[in-house]
Formats: sequence, C-alpha cells, structure tokens
Amino acid sequence: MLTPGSRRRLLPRGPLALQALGLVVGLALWELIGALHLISWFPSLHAVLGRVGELAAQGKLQEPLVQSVTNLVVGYLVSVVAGIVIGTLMAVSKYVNFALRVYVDALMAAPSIMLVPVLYVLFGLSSFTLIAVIVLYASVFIMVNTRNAVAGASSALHDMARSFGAGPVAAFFWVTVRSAGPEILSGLRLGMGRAVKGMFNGELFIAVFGLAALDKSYEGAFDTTGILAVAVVVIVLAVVLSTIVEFANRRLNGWALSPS
Amino acid sequence: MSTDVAVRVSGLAKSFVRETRGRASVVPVLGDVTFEIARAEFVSIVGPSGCGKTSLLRSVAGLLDVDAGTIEVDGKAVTGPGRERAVVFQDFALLPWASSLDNVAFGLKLQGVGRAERRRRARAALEMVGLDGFADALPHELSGGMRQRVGIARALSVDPDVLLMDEPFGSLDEITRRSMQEELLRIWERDKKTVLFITHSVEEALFLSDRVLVMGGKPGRVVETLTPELPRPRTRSQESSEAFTSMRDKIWETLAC
Repeated sequence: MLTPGSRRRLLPRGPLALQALGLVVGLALWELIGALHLISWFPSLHAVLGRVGELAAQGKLQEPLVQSVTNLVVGYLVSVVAGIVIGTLMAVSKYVNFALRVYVDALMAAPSIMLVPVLYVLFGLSSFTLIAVIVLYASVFIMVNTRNAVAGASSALHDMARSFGAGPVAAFFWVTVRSAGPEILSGLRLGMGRAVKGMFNGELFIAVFGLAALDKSYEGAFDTTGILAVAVVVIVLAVVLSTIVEFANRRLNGWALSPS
Repeated sequence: MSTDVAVRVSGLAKSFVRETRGRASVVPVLGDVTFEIARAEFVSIVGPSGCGKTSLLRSVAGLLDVDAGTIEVDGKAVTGPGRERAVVFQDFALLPWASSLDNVAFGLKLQGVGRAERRRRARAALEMVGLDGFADALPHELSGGMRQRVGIARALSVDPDVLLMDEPFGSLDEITRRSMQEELLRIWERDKKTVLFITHSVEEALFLSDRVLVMGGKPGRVVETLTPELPRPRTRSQESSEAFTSMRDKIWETLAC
C-alpha cells in the first residue's frame, strides 16, 4: 500500500546493478581469453572494438548500417501494424481466428528461414525482399501476443465502461486495448528481436546488402576479428532497439510492472 | 406507475446457452422474477451461488439482455446501460493504469463531463469515502477496502438515482467488510440513494437493508421477502437483538428449503 505522496520507481536499482555486473564479467572474460590467447583464433575484446572503430573511420560501416537499419525500421513498422491489426481481429472474431490460426501456428512452429528462398523467388534481389523477410520473422510474434492480450483482457473492465455509458467500440478502445497494452508491448519487444534476426538472415542469404554482406566478406578471409566486429554492431543494434521498445513499455505500462 | 417506485422488475426470465463437448444446451438462470424497489429504499438480494443474483443485477444495469419480462427504472424501460444507474462491481473493476482520481472521474468522462468539473466532482466523491489523501495512488497501491471505496466513489460521482452493488464486499476480509458496511450506511444516510445490493451474506443483508429478497430455486426467483424491523441508524448491537436473529434464522430456513 502507498502512503500519500510516495513515489514509484520504474525499475529497482538491484536488478540494474546485477545486469551491469553480469555484462562486465562477461566482457572481462572475453578480453582475458583473447588477450592471453587461450583460444588461438579468438580475438580480444579490445581488438574487436578497435576494428569497429577502424571500420567506422574508413567509412565501411556506415553504408551497410544505414541499409540494414532502413530495411529493419520499415519491416518492423509494417510488422507492428499488421501484427496488431490481424491479432486484434483474431481476438474479436472467432471466424478470423479459425481461418488464420493454422498459418499463425505453422509460422510459429516452423523455422522462418525456410521461407526466405520463396520470398527471393517472388520478389527478386531487392530491399523489398529483405523487408518481407523481416515481416515474416517479426509479425507473427506480435500477432500472437496481440491476439492473446486482447482476448484475455478483463471483461469486468469492459462491463464497467459499458455501465457508465461507453458504447461497445469506445469500451473496446478505451479499456480493452489499453488493458491489453503490456502484453502487446511485450510482443513488440519480442518482435524487435525477431526483426533483427530476420534482417541479418535475409541479408546473409544473398550477401549483397547491409551488414551481412560485410560479414560475408570477412568470412571468406577467415577474419574472425572482422566477423566479431560486425557481430558486435548487430548485437548493439538489437539491444538498443529492444531497449527503446522496453523503455516505451515502461513509460506506458509501468502500472503492470508493479507488484499487486 | 406510482412515482415512488424506482425499480420495477416484472416476470424476468433469462437463459444461457452452454456448450459442453461441442453440444449446446439451454440453462435457465432466472425464471419469472418480480419485485419493486421504492425510491430511497435499500434492498438486498441474498441467495446461494448460481441462483442468478448477478445475472439479475446485470439485467437491471442493462448489461445483459433478458429473454422475457420487463425492467423499469424511474418509469422507463431498461434497454441498456443508463445514466440514472451506476454499478459497483465485486472485483472493483478499477482501471489499473489510472490513479484513484482518474478512476473516479472515468464514469464522468464517459458521460461527457468537462475535465475541470469531473475532477472537482471526483475529488468530492473521494473525500466522501475518506480517500482524499490517495487521489494519486494507483489501484495496486491500495488495500482491497480502499479499492472498493474508489469503486463506490466512482459510482456516486455520477449522481445516479439507483445504485447497483454486486457483492461489493465479497472479496474483502471480515474486519474490512464490517467497516465497509458501516461506511456504506453512513454514505447512504446522507442522500438516500435507491440501492439494489447483491450479497451472499445473510447478516450483511439484514444489517444494511430496508428489505431483503431471498432468491432460490432453479431457475432463480424471489422465494421470500422480509422487512427487518430494525431502527435506523443501524448499530452493531442490533445484530444480537431478537428481531435480527429471528429474521436471520428465518432466511436460513428459507435457503435450506
């Protein structure tokens, strides 16, 4: 229970400190293994970060990064809109749910990469194909979370809104969708991770575009430092984007993160 | 219709379709329910689980379509939710993301009341239920009793003619429950709203009400109507009076049949 005037904290300090500690220990181990040559081909952390700096200074990183991020942002936004709209329709209409469920379940269970060649056959070697791969990877997770969130939203709140005069549509948008927010946002966070995976897998498949093309060039030369430099950039990109979605989640749905 | 009748329920019947292993069957829940509530009267409905109490209240609230019969509030047929009625829910039904103040103001917002006016009225309602220091608290930061006070404040803030209360203290512990009963009577004595109060508790029904309707049977109907001869304002000492205990025993006998 809260006393009047007391404030809420979005995330307790303890977990943040533990996260930071885990990261520092992991990075220190990496540096140690690399610096002491405990694994012959494994470069140290400072060597990899140095390579990232070199790539940036030589201008080799910027263009692939812009290509990849542009596709990622467009693909992710399409996934968000499609996932939320279709997921909501599946939650409110059993007919839509029955009709689409088989595809959703199949896409959840089957490895998405299986369908990537089909997309290349359909759309050719273009950014459009890469965006389609990202949508394939991300949208289904957003869809499923949205469907479950809306279907499981409190009917008592809906009744309450109706009892005070809200029409069915107003009650749905003001109460049902809002109370489904935390689970929808959690789907968006999962979707972001999947979108990054889709972006990289799609690019790897053709090795022409973006960061994966850069990665492929180092693979050919057995340049592990270069490969890890690209990996670091992709991981940082994924973490930053997921953190942005998580931050939005905490801002919008802080109420759902507190113990009841 | 006489003007001092606030709620009139006549021949109400309701069935639900239940699907079990792909087979649909019709389950009658309410059968020929008839009663009236006078203006400013506090009426409780008591009965066992599954006798249709909540379905009856939801019907009066306009949240449930009925199969047969009529419901009138202030002489007008009920065809859906209306401003002259407000519901207090058993599980509080508070918006978990909204502060106490915003929760109380929510009903007013839905009724199109301007921001400044609804905040003023919401603050007044919170003060009435003794929560004026908790306007900014979120529901999870409040105890069960405090959450239900917010629910009651929300219902009172829209100034309804009829207050519909669906087992409002059913999820509270006994100590909080008794304190909330006294709080409710204190509030009710102030402006004497017409109240339809659903409860499982015979003692609660007798302590609060002018009249107690006992429901039973399948489908559910009103099987007994009792008028506690207890002077107001009610006090806890009345619970050990002869009038109280004999009426309590009579209700238990009726429920046992």
